Amino acid sequence: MKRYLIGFVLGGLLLGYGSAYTDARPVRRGTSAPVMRHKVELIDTLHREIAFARARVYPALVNILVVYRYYDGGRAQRDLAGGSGVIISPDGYVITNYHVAGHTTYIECTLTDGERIEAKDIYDDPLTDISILKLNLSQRANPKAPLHYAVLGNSDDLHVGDFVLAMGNPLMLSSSMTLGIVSNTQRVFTDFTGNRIEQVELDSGQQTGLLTRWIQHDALILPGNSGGPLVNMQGEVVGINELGGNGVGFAIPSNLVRRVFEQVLTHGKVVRGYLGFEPLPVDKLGRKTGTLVAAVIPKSPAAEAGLKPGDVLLSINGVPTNIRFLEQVPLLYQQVTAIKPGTRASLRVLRQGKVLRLHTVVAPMQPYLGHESEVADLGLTVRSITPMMALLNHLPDTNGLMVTGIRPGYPADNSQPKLAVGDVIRAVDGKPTPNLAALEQVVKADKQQGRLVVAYLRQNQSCLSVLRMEKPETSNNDFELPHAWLGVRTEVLTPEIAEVLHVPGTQGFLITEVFPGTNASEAGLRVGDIITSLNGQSLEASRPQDEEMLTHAIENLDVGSRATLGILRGGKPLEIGVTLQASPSSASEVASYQEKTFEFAVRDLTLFDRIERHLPLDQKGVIVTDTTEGGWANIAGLNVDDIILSVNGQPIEDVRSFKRMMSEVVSRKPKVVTLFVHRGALTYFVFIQPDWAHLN
Amino acid sequence: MLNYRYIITNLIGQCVVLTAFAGYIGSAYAQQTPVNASLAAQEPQNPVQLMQTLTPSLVTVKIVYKTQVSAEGQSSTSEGKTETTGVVVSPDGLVMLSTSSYSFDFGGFFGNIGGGGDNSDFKSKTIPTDFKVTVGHDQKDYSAKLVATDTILGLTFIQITDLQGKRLEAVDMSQGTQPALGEKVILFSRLSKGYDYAPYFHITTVCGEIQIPRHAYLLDGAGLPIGLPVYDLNGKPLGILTTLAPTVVETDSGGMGMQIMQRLFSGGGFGQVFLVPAESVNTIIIQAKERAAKLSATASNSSSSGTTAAPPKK
Repeated sequence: MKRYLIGFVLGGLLLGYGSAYTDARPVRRGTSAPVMRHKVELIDTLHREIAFARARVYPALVNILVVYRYYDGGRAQRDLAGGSGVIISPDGYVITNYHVAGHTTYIECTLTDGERIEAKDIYDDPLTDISILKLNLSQRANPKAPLHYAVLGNSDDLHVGDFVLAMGNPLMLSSSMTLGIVSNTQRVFTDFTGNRIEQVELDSGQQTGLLTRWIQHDALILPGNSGGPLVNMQGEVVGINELGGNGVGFAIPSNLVRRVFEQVLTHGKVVRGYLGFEPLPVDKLGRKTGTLVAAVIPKSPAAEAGLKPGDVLLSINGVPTNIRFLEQVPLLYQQVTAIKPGTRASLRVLRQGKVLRLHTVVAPMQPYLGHESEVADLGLTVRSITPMMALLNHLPDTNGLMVTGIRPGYPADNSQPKLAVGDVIRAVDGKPTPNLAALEQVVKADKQQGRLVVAYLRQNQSCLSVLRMEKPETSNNDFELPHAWLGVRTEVLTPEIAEVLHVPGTQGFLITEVFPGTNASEAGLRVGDIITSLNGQSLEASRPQDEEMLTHAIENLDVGSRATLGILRGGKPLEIGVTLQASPSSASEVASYQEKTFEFAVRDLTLFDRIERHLPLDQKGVIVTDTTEGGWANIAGLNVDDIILSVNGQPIEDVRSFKRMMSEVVSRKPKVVTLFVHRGALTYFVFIQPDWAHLN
Repeated sequence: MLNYRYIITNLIGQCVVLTAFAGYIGSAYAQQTPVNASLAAQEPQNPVQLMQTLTPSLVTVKIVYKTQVSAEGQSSTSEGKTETTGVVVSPDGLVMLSTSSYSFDFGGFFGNIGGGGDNSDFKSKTIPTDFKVTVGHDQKDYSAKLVATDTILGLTFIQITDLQGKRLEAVDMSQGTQPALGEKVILFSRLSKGYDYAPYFHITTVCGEIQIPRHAYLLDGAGLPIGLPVYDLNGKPLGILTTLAPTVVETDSGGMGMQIMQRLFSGGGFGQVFLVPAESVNTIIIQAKERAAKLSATASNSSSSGTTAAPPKK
């Protein structure tokens, strides 16, 4: 009976457990398997689509490295930067952002197979933040091999929720890809009131965004992704990534990119029409049609037509201009810019209840900012003035050059009265300077006089300033005055240390280091010696704060004089005489050289340079004392205190041989100048790659 | 009937008391007079006259500098400018000013914050690239070149190069005298261009003396102009004000912020301002004059290529 009972219980338990297990499966019997299968199929499909899209576009991705020029502190400077791009034609056209490739003097593209090819900047369009590059295909290992390129898709077909891939080179890491979805297909940026479109200001000061409704997505992008493609699951480029951060990215729609690219291919540039008014949505007027004219630019085609702020623009050339929401503003700008300059435009407007017809001729759109340049002789940077700059700065016209930076110590900085950023230079020595060429011509002709008189505008005032043509001279020698120096390092012999060394009651200094190659070393001073007197005077040092007593006593003696030291060595007293030499900090007595092409300075090594850096006492080479910020050596990574050991494999002995070597380099103009340097405890290679065609 | 005896007695009594009291006050006054007289002797006879005599040697120096900063194998350079007051130490235009007016040792500072010593990987170096000197209220700016620096006293020496034979008023530290504790001293400086370089004086007291890290004196007051001479009330130079940093730095357990505060208020790290005696300063000035003469001779002999040749050894 008992056995049956146990069996019954065990069986029941097993049955119950089995039943429970069956019930734990996620879906009810008859519906769970298909749902699971469907999910797995979806994931597989996504994998396949990603693989497909990747295969179509990834090989066309390029890693872009640039040397770009910027203006800061009154001078032109260079720096390295990088970003991404995508090849969109078989003959090597590359699309990237203007803020990646604009203002560059050198562009190098690395393909996904590792091949490096230089590229040329064909066209910059700051308004859309697009640049078009052309690869120098003759540099390919096999110039005839077909080039993989991507296809521009139709960005208007995108929907919120669509999967997209962001491809690029985040943080300058080699090519990578992230997945996200489209969050918004019509993103615009507004001011904090939400009533007005705000453009995005690029590093160069240019503004972008008037024509752009960004594709907002959540595929992770980081600095370095700029200019890289946003790709749909069909393997088409639907956007060019431009901005991002905190998990959100913004891409320029491919349809906008296509319009820029096609214009450049066809006409060599982008030509846009311009009317000259600022639109606002009519929503707050209670209207559903039309565009509120918020401002009319003076002397613009719109002003010539008689358009006034407050008018409601109903159509242009019969095409309705309806803006209810800010997201529609870029569409109106696209409509206006698409009109060919020089053609007539008919504007239908509503003014105080009446419909009017206004007529004008569309003008070409002008750049927002003028070109910036350096005037090196004066130590300032200037920008040519565009109509928009003249308007915003209340200038009478576009004549002249606006000062954008002044270099410390240079003629403009020493002007009397002082020139300032924002001043508009209109003439020099009585000669008009409406543009950069005129200014450079006058400066070149008149600088030998030693003095220039500059006429400039400042806030409606016509002023004069006198510039003395003197520039600062950099000397990279060390000017430290020499002091008498013993050539050893010491520590105070405290009572405790004296006890340990079995010389209780002794006061003085324990030698902790004797510098090799010095008079102290030659005189026979040793580590462990105790200096108890100097020239017969006891050194009553026994506390840590007495540390400088010996140094000061030595400094009060003359360089070259003989110091007699009372020494305790192994408990036995003796006297050692040492001829004092000059302190190691003074390096003014060595040869130096200013390398002007690559903008850095060097000097000969001193004995103390070698001692300090633990180098052999016969170490040859030259030590770098200065690298100009933004200079070729500086951006190649040459550091102050580097010791140059060889140039292009040729060992360097001293400044004389270095100067000779650099002259040869400048005349031969190799693609790469290789410096082998000693840095810290190790050696290092510095590769200078100057753009010989655009050295400055 | 009046009690004339009482009145007279009291009147005499009152006179005696008043006389005694007057005598007491008089004697007390008489005792004070010698002290006041000695104090009066310490007050400058005419600080305005001293200012007129001594401030022509004070010049305004505009400095353009380049700062090189390196850390972890990378370096960068930036340019800047500043203005300070210097003092002419030689009539041919040798000017002395404080190095700290344009240079700050970031590397040493961070090294000290880290526990002492210049072992920080963070290094900075400031190189002055241009000097312009304004003498008094002159409109003209004179060009000047760097000739010497002295790290120990924190001094920089520049030589005006276009005086064209003009001689300047100079301070002569070789005629200096030793300061004494408790002595009143006077020092001068100039305001900036916006105030037309107006000179001003400041009278203070020698309130301390140190032997470590070197012999110097502490003056009462804060914000004293560094790199400029200090005089006794008769106009004799006593020395110059400069910063002296202690060589022994105690490591604190507090955080960096606390250490910075402690350094600032105790004089460690940045260094405290002291009056270094004229004798010590004069030694450096003599060396600077010799260097200026040597550089002037070398400049006229150097080649026109980009190389600066090593000057011939004596």
